[in-house]
Amino acid sequence: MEYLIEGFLNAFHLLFTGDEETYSAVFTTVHVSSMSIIISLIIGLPAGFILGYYEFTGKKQIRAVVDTLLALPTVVVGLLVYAFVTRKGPLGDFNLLFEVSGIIVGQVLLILPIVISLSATAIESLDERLKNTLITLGARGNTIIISSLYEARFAIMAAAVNAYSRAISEVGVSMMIGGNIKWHTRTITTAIALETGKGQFAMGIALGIVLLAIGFFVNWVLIFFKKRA
Amino acid sequence: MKDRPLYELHDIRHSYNEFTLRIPELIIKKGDAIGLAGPNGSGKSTLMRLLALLESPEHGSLSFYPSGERKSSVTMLQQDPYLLKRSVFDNVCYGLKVRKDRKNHKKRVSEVLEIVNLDPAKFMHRSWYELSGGEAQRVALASRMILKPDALLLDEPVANVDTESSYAISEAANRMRELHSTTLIISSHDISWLTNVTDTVWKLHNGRITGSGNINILPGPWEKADNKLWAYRLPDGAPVYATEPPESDSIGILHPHEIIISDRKIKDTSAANKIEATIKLMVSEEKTGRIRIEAEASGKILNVQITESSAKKMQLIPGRKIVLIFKATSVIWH
Repeated sequence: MEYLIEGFLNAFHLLFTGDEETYSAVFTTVHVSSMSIIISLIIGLPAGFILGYYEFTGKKQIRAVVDTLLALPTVVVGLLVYAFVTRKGPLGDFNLLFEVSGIIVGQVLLILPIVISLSATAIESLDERLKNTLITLGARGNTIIISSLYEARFAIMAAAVNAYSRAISEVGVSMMIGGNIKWHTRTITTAIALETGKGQFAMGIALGIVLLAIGFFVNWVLIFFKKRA
Repeated sequence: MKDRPLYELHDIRHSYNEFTLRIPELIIKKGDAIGLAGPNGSGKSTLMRLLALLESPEHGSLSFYPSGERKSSVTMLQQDPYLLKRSVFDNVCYGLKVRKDRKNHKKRVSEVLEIVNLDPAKFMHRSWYELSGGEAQRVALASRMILKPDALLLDEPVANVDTESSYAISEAANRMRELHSTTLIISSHDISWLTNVTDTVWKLHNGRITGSGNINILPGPWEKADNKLWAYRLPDGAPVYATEPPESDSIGILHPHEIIISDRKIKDTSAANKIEATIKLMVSEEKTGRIRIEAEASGKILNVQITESSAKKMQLIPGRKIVLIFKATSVIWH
């Protein structure tokens, strides 16, 4: 038990003294996962709206595929993206391998199904009277889409929080695409894996605490907005 | 201006599953106040959705002649309306924002809230979940009134509200008509309320407009009876006699003023129909100055009209047993 207590004490020391290596991993994680969630929301929200709002041929099949991808293992995404962005791969010329941008691509593929599926569910759960209400008040086209998304805002925020939590906590994509390069592509999760392997519990615990704190903060923001509304 | 048609419908056929709404010809003028009455599934809501331009008819033509932009000119308040998950203020001015009309929102919202009898200071900043059913209904009405539409369609607006809200809604609808010559089209099961708010009440049955006013609809089927007469069986079995219908499933119409009320069975009358009934409801109609009686006859409610003095003379009260007397020829065919 002593090494655990020692680990916690050292972890707080690293955090409160502003250890550069620790904070580098934290900033990389926040940067990568924030970019991933922004891109996923830009693509995923309209796609989720279409999937949840309209009836079209093949909708059920697409929905089944998207729902299946919710359980996509991070290492499978890592492997897939690696195969594409490696020097010999079809996207090799973009130099994404061992770069932050490569991790972002991988994380977008990982969390996009979450955004699409949960936002589609949120739109499907909207009251069926909403559409007629909006039309009778004069809304058309994009205004109906934006107003419907706004009506589903709490469920969509929950979808975004869910997707963000998956992005900051994943290790497979960051490790395989980013390569866990110190000061460059090392994220909280890859650092924890590495430091734990080395027996350096202090840094692992410190980063774990930060990871939990980020998760708590993001969920707190959701609860705050729900309460405010 | 008032005689200008707002709607012209020709040869409309519009189906839902096995139900079909059929309207050969219909003109609604600007400033009219039309009531739609009829049993569930008679086609009221389908007609309302067509008039609200939420759907296009499958067959026939529906022409709408708005005074301004088409999408601004007709709005409908659905039965059990949906409020956006926002404050009362944001709900009421949503339609203005959609139209990019950004002038004096606060003042205009206050005005319409006052018209629907909600105190602006108290309600303006309430959230959607802080309202009772009647208040929500009035907020939904205010959010349509602020648009000053050419046509305001209200689908069962008083079905689930208290008396205060019911009164506030009828007053607000009348104000809209007075201020902006808004055409009102209102469906309701509450015939008395509908009669007081509108000029004409159209009765719908099985997808057709069968007549106006408090007419009684006898939908058939009709069976051949004795004395060259045909009979329609009321739900509990008592027959209603009529002359030969065009078809066995023709709709018979019996006007309330064709029915005579008696307090006992009269033998020396040539009228073929002498049906025992019980008075269920008596309503004084402001517009006609008469008493409308809803009497339950063998499981069916029939409307009868009587003068106030006759009602007093016969000491009619709800619960009293009466006999409804009318001739077979009083039943006419739609």
